[in-house]
Amino acid sequence: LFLYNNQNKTDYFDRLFSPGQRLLLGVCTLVPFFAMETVAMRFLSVMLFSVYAASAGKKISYLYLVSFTFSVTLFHLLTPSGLELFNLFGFPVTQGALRTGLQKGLAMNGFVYISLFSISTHLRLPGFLGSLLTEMFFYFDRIIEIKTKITKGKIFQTLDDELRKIYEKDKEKLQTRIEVPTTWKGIFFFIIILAANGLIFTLDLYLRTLGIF
Amino acid sequence: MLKKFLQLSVKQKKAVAFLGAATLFLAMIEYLFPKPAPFIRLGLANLPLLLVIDRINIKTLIYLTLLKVFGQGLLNGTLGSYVFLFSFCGSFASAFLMYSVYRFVGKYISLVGLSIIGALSSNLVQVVLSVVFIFGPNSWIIVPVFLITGLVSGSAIGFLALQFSLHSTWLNRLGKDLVSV
Repeated sequence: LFLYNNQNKTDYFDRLFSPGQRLLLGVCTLVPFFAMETVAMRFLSVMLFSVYAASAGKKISYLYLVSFTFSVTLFHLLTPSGLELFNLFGFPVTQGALRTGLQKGLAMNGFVYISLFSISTHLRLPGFLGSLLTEMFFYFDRIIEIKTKITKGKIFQTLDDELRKIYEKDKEKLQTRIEVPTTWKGIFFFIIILAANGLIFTLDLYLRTLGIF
Repeated sequence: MLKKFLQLSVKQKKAVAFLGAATLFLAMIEYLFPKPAPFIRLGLANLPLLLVIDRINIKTLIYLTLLKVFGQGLLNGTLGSYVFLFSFCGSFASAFLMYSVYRFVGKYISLVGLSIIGALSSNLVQVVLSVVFIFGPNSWIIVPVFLITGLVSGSAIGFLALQFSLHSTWLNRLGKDLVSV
């Protein structure tokens, strides 16, 4: 389930929001999404979140989204509940199980996408753990810079030599990143994203009053 | 008293941070390989912990595991999702079980055995979480698949750790810092 940054993609969210405000945006979108009950609106939200996550430079696999939601739904269908919709090779597909499976599968994917666009790599955690994480990312940057030709049959030795060199080299002054403040453009997008989310939530409430789930 | 317990020496902090970075690097390498199914993974990120299991104490174990899960969560952006919960619980279960087994019966068990224990415990915890939070009770049927993949991947990682620890000079250097006060 690793969903790393695609190195070639630009993180537009990083240009617009500070890491803290980006996190706040994630929390604000999470609440109405969690309260949604209709499958259609939840699906719409997930699609929107996937666009945000892609804008944040993350690699999005729609095939994974489909296969994950399908497998969650399939497991739920094994326990029939509610009205039988149709019969597939002797297997009853029930309304309640289908709805619960789709809702759960979409919810899980939605949470992942929200997390992908709201968590910045530059987010600094406070305290000792925060400073330890900063030091770890410093060494991580050094390790991924290793560009040594690995000789056949000497993989372990080459890797060991490189790791020792980095480890023994005196640690340079840790780079402290100057936090980019949220821009006016950022505030505009913050409002737009929340408004879009609010609109979908309102539609969800409306559909519920009509008895559509 | 708790603050004093949680403190690390400068050398220990450097060693733990470096191991955490190696963990992240290996997780990134693993990401490059195609997976046969979404939940099946090799567990390369467990390698650094396995390599220093004989030099680590409970305090450095906690920090290293925290770095692993928070580092991956920040880098992947999954810090606020169920993936983080799975990673957190699986990593802690695996780390503590490997550490405890090594402390009690370390003389009788190889790195391959420890690695298998770590992989199986992590997989089992993740199955329990998926039963409770995602797939429901029917997902118990995937337990045999998880156990078999845990056995295979655990053996492979254990073998890699064994080979690397036999020839590593970096590990000896880092190990000295890890036990320094």
